[in-house]
Order: sequence, then C-alpha cells, then structure tokens
Amino acid sequence: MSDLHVEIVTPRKVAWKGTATDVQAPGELGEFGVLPRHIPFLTVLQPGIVKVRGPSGVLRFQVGAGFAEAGPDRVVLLVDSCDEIK
Amino acid sequence: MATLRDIRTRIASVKNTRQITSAMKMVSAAKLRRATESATSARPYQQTLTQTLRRVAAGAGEVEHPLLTSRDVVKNVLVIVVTSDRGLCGGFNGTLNRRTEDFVKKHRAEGHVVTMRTYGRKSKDFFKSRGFSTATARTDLVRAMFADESAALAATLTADFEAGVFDEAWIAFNQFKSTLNQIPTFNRVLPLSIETAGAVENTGPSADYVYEPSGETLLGALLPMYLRTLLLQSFLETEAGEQAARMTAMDNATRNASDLISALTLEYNRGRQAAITKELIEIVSGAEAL
Repeated sequence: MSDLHVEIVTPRKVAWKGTATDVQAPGELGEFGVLPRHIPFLTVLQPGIVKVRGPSGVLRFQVGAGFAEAGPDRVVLLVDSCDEIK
Repeated sequence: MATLRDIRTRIASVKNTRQITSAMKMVSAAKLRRATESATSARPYQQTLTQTLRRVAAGAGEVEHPLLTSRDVVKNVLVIVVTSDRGLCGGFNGTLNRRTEDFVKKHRAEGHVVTMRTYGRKSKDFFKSRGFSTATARTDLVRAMFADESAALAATLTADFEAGVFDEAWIAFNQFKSTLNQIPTFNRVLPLSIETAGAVENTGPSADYVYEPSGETLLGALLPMYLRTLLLQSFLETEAGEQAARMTAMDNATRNASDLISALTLEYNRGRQAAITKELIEIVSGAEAL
C-alpha cells in the first residue's frame, strides 16, 4: 500500500512535511482518520491534536483552527498554528 | 570662489554622508533577506488556500455568500493604505500615497463617501495633512504582530461590512515584484472575488470531493481565512518592498556621494596646485627683483 504525502502548512511556514501511513485530525464534526486511497475529502478543523503515523513512529502536533484536504495519496492541513508535541 | 579649506570641509562632510548611506544600505540588505524569507514562506499557505477556495466555489456552483455579494448601490467606500513607518526609501511611500489620493478622488467624483484606514506613519501623515481622520491609523507594526493584526483587521472589516458601515473595501499596498520593482497595487478585499476560471482543469476530480460540513458552510469558514491571508500578504510584501526600496535608494545615494567626492577632490587638487604655482612665481619674481 502506498504512503500518504502529508503537509502541515501555517501562515508562517510549512510546519511539517513527510510521508505517513495514517493521519488523524480533529474535524469540526468529530475526529477523523485518513488512510491511503481515501476518497477526496475537505473539512474544517478545530483546534486539537493531529496524529501522524510515519516511518519513524507516531508524531503528535498541537494545531490551531483551519481546514484539511485529503486526497487519495495526500493530506494537506492548513492551520493557524502548529507545534509538535515531543 | 571656495577656498581650499571650504572644499576640504565639504569633502569630509560628503564622506560622512556616504558612510551613513552605505551603512543603511547594508542594514536594509540584511533586513530584506529576512523579509523576503518570511514573505516566501507564507506563500504555500496562501496558494493552497486559494486553490481550495476556487475548487469549493467552482464545485458549489452559484453560491450566495454575504462576503461575496456586491452591493447594488455603492455609497461608502473604505480604503486601506499600507506604507512603511520610515522614509529614506526613494519613492516607495510617496508614489503609493499619491496614487491612493488619485484613487480616492476618482471615487469621490463618482459620489462615493470615502473613509481611510492607514498603516504606517508615512501614509498617516500624508492623509492627515489632507484632512482625513486618522483615528484608526496604525503605526509601528513589526513582523511578529502581522498575523494578529491581519486577523483583527479581517474581523473588523467583516463585521463593518456586514453591518453596512461600508459597501466596498480596497487595500492599497506596494506589491513586491523584485528588489528593483515594487508596484502600487489596489485590490478589492470586500466583497471578495474569487476567480473560478481556470480552477476546473487543474483540479481533476473536483466533483467527487466530499465536503464536511456542506460546501456552503465550508465556504463560510474558508472566506474569512482567505481575507486574513490577503491582508497578511499585503503587510509582508510592504515590509519586503520597503527594505528593497531603501536598499536601492541608499545604493544610489552612496554612488552619488562617491561621484561628488571625486569631483570635489579634483577641484581641491587643482586649487592646491594653483596655490603652489602662485607661491613659486612670487618667490622667483622676488629673487629676480634683487
């Protein structure tokens, strides 16, 4: 199965960019997960925690409000702010 | 005729000026790099947002949204001018201010009531002397405040627009094309316009998008974000443009000072030589008289 290409973009910069097998994000209508070959999908994000399962384990980000665009092989999160939780 | 001492003093003073202008040039060059960096790194966000917005707008068809709807009768117009706080940057602020004044006059001729909102000391002073209220003027804005300021401004604009305080809002700023070229630009920020043309071919399966919540609600969430980004972008470009303009202006000033110094030095040397010759003639003719 192919990987997802993930980008987390804030007005300041591209906060994170990489590949992942699974992304979870807080949508306005509840938390959702994206796996590869997801149907094209667009939603509003609420401030919360985004989990990205990458090759080097699960990364967690505290993100602000924004929106997410998910396609078959990519996920773009446009958010006000983004900080990695270490 | 200037005495040798006068020329010497002038050379020294022009050298001082040159030192200052070349230092300012260097400082601007360093600041410019930082400013362009932050303007460039803000671009992905804006581009993605614009693309998505177009796609949603195209997919949703003819959508009615308050922020997109033009008023039938335009009476009150708000003009936002973004300039820098400091001068010594060539025609950067002056050109924009004058163009904006023309723009305002044009709207007044059409019977619109124009109110101003200025950013930067240069536009504040300019429009204050022309009788505009500067109650909402903002100065001393630094880059760290751009994000918050554009969010606050977007919120105020949206609220005022919906309340009918104004029917149209324009933003005037210097678009940062390149280091040598900043273009005074007027963009209508409210009501927003989204070019849906060209959106269809680069989206591909746009019709298959699943919107959550509905496309229209989504549009409602995206538009304020878009407005904010537009404003942020104009702040960032103004900052980069200011430094670029100052760098160019100071480079010119430094070069002019150097030219002046070499001209003055030539004159000084000539004068000195004339004095020496004169003294020699005096000695020789004095010796001959004996």
